[in-house]
Amino acid sequence: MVFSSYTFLFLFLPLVLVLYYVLPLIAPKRWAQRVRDWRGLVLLLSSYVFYGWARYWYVLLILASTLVDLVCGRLIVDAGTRRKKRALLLVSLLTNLGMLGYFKYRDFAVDAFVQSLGALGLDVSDPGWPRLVLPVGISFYTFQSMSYTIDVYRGVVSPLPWKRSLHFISYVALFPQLVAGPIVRFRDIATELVDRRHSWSLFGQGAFFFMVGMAKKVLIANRVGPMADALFGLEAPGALDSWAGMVSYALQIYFDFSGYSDMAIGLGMMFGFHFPWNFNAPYKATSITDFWRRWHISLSTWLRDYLYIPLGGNRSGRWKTYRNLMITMLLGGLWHGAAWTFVLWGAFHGALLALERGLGKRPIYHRWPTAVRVGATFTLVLLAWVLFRAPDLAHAGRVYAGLFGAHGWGGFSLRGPFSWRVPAGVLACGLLLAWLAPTTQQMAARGGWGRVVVVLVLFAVAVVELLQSAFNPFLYYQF
Amino acid sequence: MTKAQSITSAFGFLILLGGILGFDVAHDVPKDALRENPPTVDGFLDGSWAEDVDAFFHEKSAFMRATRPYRNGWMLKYLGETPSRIVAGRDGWLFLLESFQPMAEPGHTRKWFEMFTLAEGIRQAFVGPRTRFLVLVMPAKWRLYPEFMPDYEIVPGRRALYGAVLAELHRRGMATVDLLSILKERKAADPGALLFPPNDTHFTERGFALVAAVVAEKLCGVPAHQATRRLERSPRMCRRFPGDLPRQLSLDPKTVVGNSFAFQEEAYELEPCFDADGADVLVLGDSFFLAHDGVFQRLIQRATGKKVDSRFAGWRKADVARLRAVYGRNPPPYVLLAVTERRFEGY
Repeated sequence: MVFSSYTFLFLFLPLVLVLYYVLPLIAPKRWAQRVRDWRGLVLLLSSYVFYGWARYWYVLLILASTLVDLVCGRLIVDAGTRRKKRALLLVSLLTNLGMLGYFKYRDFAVDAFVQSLGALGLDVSDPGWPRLVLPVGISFYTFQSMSYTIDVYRGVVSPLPWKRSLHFISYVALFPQLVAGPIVRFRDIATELVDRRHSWSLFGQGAFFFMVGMAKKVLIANRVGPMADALFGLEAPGALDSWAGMVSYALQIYFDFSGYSDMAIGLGMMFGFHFPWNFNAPYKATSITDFWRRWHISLSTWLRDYLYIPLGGNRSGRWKTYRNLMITMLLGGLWHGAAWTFVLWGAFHGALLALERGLGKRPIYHRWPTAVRVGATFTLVLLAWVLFRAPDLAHAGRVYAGLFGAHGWGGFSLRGPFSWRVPAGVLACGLLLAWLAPTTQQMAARGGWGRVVVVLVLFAVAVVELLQSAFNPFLYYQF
Repeated sequence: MTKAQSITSAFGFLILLGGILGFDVAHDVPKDALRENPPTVDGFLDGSWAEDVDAFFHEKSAFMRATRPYRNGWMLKYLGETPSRIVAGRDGWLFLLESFQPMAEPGHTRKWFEMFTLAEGIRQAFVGPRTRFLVLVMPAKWRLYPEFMPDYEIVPGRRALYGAVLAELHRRGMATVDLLSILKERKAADPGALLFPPNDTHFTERGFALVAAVVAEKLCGVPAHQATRRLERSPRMCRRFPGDLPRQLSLDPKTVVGNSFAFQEEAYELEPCFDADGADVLVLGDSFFLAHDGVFQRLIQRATGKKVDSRFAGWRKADVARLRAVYGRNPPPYVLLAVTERRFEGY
């Protein structure tokens, strides 16, 4: 189920809200004695309905991942020796990474193997296995579930007692952030899983976040998305089209994903949770290091804490730091998808992070005006997005060539038969919002009646637009 | 955010969701969704039931249908945006995308539709010493009013289509008229008198009257001044014409938004066509001549003073054998085939 769908907005969400808030009040007392956490139960069941809505077997996968980590986490504490603890951690990691690897990377690995043998002159035919369907959100919930076992192993969190198993199962499956994050650590919401406060004030803030997220997604991301698609459908794009398409994609992915994150955070608040922020105006970043502190924060901090630091971080000398940065970003790229384009995207960012690290804490560009640094960082991020979006390396190469006029300067053909003013205006508005507008969390903190009214109007417009429009993909669902 | 502002956000959010759901429940949308997509075990297991239900709500929401005309009208008015088939031009003009988009990939050889075969069939069936036959190619709106077109590059092959169709008709020895030149002359003489309305793919009644006079002269031999005089003496009334293009945008002419796209014109009040065998003029045409309640053939009847039988020639085919059976050995003295230019070329 997608947040921006009729079924979710007008059927699933109202029904879950009613059950969540009303059922504990009207449930018979003898039931209340047996089921202590009605609301937790409603959340758990609704999360499984949400996840298994179109593919029931998705539920079996998430249940497998959840149960393995629940059991491993508990047994790690009870295990007497460090060796046993490590073995249990290994079981958890292998199960989660095995599932992720099988569904996400099997086809990629087989293709790469067949191609490399072909390059060596060995004629190996494709095994002809049917292509696997990637279960939605598997990249997110495996990371989330795994972080619990690792934290238990490290002693950072206390495992839940068996009688509280429901809370852990709910934690992994929570529908607001299940399929596209933010990647919530167990320790972030452990207390709220057991005991959370509900108030109109928190609910209202959640609604505010949700409405802003929906407006970002429908009114901006969905508007610029077709132009980005048009660019990557051209065989020989001209320079103007390439730049316009590249900016369109940068805006699409930002407003789409940050919109989704806002909706997830907002839904969390409606149910009494405080999820971590996932975005902090990333296109205002003044360096690539700064960009990664602002973009998909829950993933970058996950990779930092569970990959970069265990690899040695920056404690083992300059070259090992560069190596660790490269490994982390390469795997981060691969996490997004099983394709060489993602690997190169990760390598590009890894190399830039290593370069910035190499230039020291006060590099020369720190003296440049902020606007110049923001512009330069944004341009580098834009160039990297080409790799991220292109279906293959050859296509990315054609777009890069197009950017520098290899296919002529061209016109603004991505707009289709429409006047150039509207798409150009939308791009300009998107850029201005990305660079100058406050973040959703800043807007919610500052408040103001004007903002509330504007957000309500934008949400109403977004809902009307959503119902009319056929173009409504969620980019991060595919990761 | 203050507590009052948070509570306002919460209530606004819930009222919007609940209001839309309530509207759809009042229009039985959820009930219809279940009736049309009864849940089945197989459907649940393969996920098709969930997909069908999602699609049903997305397509059949009563709220969506109720708001669509306003949304489309607003998008067109303020952003110049339209659904894929319709293109917004300058100054509120609308065009049908199919009328100027490429019919074939650049570099491909032109491939004629069966329209020429149809014309040949009609000629063979009717034309003889007593019957005259004329093929009229209706030019697309953008050819006459390019100044209202959006910035859109029309491929050379598409641009040359009208001339190519006329040339092919000449090559096949079929009588035709270069309607576009006549329309351009009239436009130059009186630019304010629109021959195509901004909101429709067909002629205005003034445009149809001009073409009817041409038919009267070129097909039936009625002197031009006589045909024009007959038409000028016909009773007329003022009306607001809603147009077919706003309708394709779901704009209801009864609403303020829909009505704002209506075109004010003088409409002819004419008697119905003879429409039976034994007529003097047989008019065969595509949907173009069904516009304005068949005013074109009624104008021909008035301009010529002859009985007109009008029949639909379909998209690519007309039932020539049936027409032969109807008219038998007494074909009408005048036969007209009137179709739009894009009917002639295929992919």
